[in-house]
Amino acid sequence: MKIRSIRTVIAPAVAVVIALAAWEVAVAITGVRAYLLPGPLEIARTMWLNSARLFDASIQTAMAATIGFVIATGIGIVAGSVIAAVPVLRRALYPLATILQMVPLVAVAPLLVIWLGFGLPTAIAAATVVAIFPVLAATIDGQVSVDPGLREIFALHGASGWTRWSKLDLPASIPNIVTGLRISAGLAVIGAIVGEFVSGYGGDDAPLGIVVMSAMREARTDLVFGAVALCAVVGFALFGLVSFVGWVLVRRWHSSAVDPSGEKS
Amino acid sequence: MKCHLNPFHQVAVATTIFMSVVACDRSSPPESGQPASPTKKLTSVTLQLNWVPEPEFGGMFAAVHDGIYADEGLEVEIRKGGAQVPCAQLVASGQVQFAVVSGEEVLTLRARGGAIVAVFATFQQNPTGFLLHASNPIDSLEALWTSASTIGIDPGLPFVQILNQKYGGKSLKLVPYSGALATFMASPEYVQQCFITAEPVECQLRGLATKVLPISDVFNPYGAVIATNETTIRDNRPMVEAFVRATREGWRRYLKSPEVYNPTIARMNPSMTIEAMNLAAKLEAPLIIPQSEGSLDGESSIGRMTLERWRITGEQLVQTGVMTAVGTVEDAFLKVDSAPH
Repeated sequence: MKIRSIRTVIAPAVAVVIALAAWEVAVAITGVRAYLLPGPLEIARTMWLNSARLFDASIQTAMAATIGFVIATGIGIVAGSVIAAVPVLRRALYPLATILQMVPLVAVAPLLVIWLGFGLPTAIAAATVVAIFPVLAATIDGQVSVDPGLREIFALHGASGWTRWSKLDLPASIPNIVTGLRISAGLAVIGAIVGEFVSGYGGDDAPLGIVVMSAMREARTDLVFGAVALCAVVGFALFGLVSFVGWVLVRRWHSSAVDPSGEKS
Repeated sequence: MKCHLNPFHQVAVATTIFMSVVACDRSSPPESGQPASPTKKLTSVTLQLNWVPEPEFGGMFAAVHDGIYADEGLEVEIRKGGAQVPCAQLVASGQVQFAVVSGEEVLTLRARGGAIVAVFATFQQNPTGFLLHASNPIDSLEALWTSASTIGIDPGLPFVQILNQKYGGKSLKLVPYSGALATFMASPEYVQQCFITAEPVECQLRGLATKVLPISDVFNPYGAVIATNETTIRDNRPMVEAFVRATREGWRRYLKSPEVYNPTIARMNPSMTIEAMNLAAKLEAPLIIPQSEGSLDGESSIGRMTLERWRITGEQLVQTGVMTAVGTVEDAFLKVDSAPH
């Protein structure tokens, strides 16, 4: 168990280190200018020198992405459950939800500014819009796939709709929902950044989206990479949190939390 | 127009369209030079614009329209731009021979190691400004920067720091410039950056009264600079000089008769009407040839650059923290004579 956990951490860490080393060597050998492609060490140095600004920016972006993600989770699970429970709604609304996913956020974001104004609300709304569909779809798929035999048992015992949903449909769909949430976690960060591109405030507490735009303007490619790396960190943190919560919820009974050897992870 | 850094155009960079200049209408006005010999081999070069075709690039389109580039032995492909097209990086890395950039971008990228060199400065006066509703009581940069206005502006523009140092700007709310007028038209208090020859014209045509506070009083780098790279100059300086000469002649003709050339530009940019282009051309003429510096017939002032002007821009960029040192400003630009060697 312990050795497996260590391997789980070390393997990707070694892969990252090798990739970064190869990148640094390639930059050194080719002599490519830093304004075109800075090396990881240069990026790390820039991130260190701008750590206060980048930290504040990351907090701003993380806040927008997290709030948007939480809203998307709430709406996605509730709406998904309703749609799954009512066949006519499923037939009527599922195509609409699919179309919602197809709408490019970059086209919608300016409208969000007009409706919600500048700053955090638009970034949150943008994060919500892109994060909602995976949760919705996963919830619907999870709840319509519940074992019919179990449903019949609930029916035989005269269980109410609420009881069946809270005791059977929702718990059974958790693995699906967690999968949807993992996808939504990354999308929420992307949505927040796009929202910031159109609505983020400049100044000392500018979010990562504005830092990226500003650095691009100043030809500071190293700072662009630094900000982008932090976007990835924010997304990864959300992803990790969702994965952990999901593991806690299903570890006792679902195969996804069980080692292939049969050992619980 | 470099000022129009719309994030959605940034995303739309992928849709950048190439224009084959040789396919353009070659119906030349009487002052057109001798057409190139059919057997003369032309040198292919690319000019990357930093915005969609508009009158701010009128001289280059006139040079194409009248075959002036071809007369100089050049086959010029004008590549349509977008807000996030990294023109300075493209030209510094040699992916295109020429690109339109802003003056400060030349110095900034050189400070980062880019071998970019300016060869032609379209705007002798900075065409950037702030667009306000005519009803807005704010009437100066100082009043604007000491107000609590919301300003749509591209993040990272150096003059923001200059204004901050001068006036504070603590109460301002700076938000990304959308490149569109929707928010401005809906909010009488809203202020946004503008290209003096673009948004004000658009508002005028829509019947909206506006006023402009020019930036040039506090930050006046050369605008819409055509740049190349050091390698191109070293390997093919005659070609660079020919390009500049043709561009200068193109501007001379464009400013005399913009209505002749604007339909060509409008075909490349249907979102701007010919009426707007004609108005913009009138507005930009004094910024390209300031009245104190000659007439359209005295072509020498078109595109010219001075060491002092570049040095002032460099010093301002150092002052704002964008660069740490002014560096060798004399290497940042190349003077090209009007007459061929």
